[in-house]
Amino acid sequence: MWQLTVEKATFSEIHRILAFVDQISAEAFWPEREHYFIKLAIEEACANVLEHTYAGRAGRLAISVAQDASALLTILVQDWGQPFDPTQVAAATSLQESLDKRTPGGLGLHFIRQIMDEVSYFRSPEGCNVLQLRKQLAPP
Amino acid sequence: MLEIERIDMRRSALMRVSGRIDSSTASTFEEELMAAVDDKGNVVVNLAEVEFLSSAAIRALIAALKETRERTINRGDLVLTNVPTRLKEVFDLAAITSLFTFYEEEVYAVGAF
Repeated sequence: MWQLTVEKATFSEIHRILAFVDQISAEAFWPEREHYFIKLAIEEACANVLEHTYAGRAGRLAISVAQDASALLTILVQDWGQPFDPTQVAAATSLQESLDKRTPGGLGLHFIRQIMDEVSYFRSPEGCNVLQLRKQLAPP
Repeated sequence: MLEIERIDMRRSALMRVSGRIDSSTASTFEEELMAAVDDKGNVVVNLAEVEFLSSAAIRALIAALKETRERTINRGDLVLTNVPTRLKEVFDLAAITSLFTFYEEEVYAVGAF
């Protein structure tokens, strides 16, 4: 299990998150293609939190990544902002709308859904938004 | 980290981009693209040295593409060249591959204008 918490996350911290994913990939021996797309999904999830939930303010952002023996990958992206379910936004968004910038975040969510097998949201008892992403990788 | 080298050709601006175009650098990328569109009308973007590209980069490219096509004076185009395989897959994922013209080599992309 790998964890990263950024206390005052803003867009200028995105490089730290990407470096964190690079480190996991090296330790978990992800193939190059999986590495790229998992990194993309995590970047999009974090960018959505920074843009919508925190809306430019610095806020706490935590990412945890776990991979079990059967190579099932579970990623949690947590923030401590107002309750916000991004999966509901995505359901109402067409790709064309997101391209027109009328629905920011739509394209990022489209990517996340395409890359991951399962995308779900829940509000944790401690009061944070949790986006859970799961993907079955090829077993080692 | 993002670096952009711009070379002004006779009929287009050639932009050689390297590094990452993510949610933290896409606004700089978009500003540079828009400046190139303003100055030259036609833009060639070489993505050979881009190691990572996110949806924010795609939005910037689409905004600049629209700008080139919607201009009434000096209507132009924005084309892409030397796009690495992974990045091409990201364009495919966004289902917008048909919006852009892709070239294999910079010389042909520049020569198109």
